[in-house]
Amino acid sequence: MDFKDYYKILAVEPTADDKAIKTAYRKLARKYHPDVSKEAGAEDKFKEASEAYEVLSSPEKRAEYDDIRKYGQQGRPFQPPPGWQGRGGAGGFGGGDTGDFSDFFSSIFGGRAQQGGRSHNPGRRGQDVEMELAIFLEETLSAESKQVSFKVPQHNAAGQRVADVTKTLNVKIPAGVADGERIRLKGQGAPGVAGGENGDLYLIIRFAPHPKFDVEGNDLIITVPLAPWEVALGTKVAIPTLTSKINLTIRPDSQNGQRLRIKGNGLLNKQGQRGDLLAQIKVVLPPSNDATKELWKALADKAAFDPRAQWSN
Amino acid sequence: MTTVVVELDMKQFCQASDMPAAYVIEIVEHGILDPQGHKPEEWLFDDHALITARRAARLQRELALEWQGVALALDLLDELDQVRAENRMLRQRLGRFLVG
Repeated sequence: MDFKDYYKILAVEPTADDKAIKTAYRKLARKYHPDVSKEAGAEDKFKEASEAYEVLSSPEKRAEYDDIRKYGQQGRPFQPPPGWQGRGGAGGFGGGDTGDFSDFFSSIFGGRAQQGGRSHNPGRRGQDVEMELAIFLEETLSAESKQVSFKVPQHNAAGQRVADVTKTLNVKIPAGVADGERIRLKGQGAPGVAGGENGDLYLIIRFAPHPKFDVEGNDLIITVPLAPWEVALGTKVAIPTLTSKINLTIRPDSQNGQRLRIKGNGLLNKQGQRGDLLAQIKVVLPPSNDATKELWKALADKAAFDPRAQWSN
Repeated sequence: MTTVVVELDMKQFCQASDMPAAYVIEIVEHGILDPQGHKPEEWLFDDHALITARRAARLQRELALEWQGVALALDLLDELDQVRAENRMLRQRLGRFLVG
């Protein structure tokens, strides 16, 4: 077990007063709160800061910790001094859920079983588990069975956290799911403690980026590369859809960036209706050679076109 | 295995969220949750409300915020999520027009 330097974690001097400690903690808590921060490892940093604050904000615990700190050093495995008895436990844990604090904390201030952590009393409901589930756009058109593996936190009868268990389920994803939608699977979260009800599993649907299609609400957008003459003269193009192909007519004198609507080839919604596929024109220039350069020159002379006419007034 | 759409009444909601009724009423009064029904006895919550309530309780407890602050933080976080999603989508679309 490693020694934890709570002063270092909060980035304060060991002589810091309560006010400085509180300010330092609040700053870190806001920065790393898992509901606020998207940063990797934010949750661990938040827990570390909470643990540090739990100790340093209580005069008794801080005094105990300062004693211990003389024995421990960062980077060296920590052993409580011989004859040390964790004195904490009985009361003094106002409000906070200390359930996830480190072994180092428990070795000084006692195990969670005596702490009366808020959500781990006997007969408590198990934790809910949340996980993101990536699905392909093609899979949203019909109900799909997907195999889902996830880690479930476990607690023993005394309410102590033990190693996570990996669970695998076959989940039916309904047709017409939306990006960000949550699917609740009742009772598939962490088992209840001492007879409590099981927690739930929440799957958060995330659309995997598609090589061809972009999503805009229920509509899909596909970018259609066209040669300048195809845009000028019109053409017919086979456009891929999510399920097959469809022929699209490009009218003469179309413009770059223009969108053409192909009804009913978008995503499915909950009411069973499909959005549209929007084909967006992207003009692509061919690599040129001497012969085509001559033709461009001839076109430039004939067209007498100023694309920046609007800049001149 | 089937998926479920849930509606929870006040009692079920308190149980599932592990919160006392008074607490839930306070959260609703601050507009953080918007259940169907007019009185607490008639309230019906969806499962998204469960997640919001838990987030609200965590923010209130762990950042020592007032409920007003929690409500504001949740609104802004939701908006941030939407803006991030939109930004991700627009970047992806823009990428198709930029030359590698």
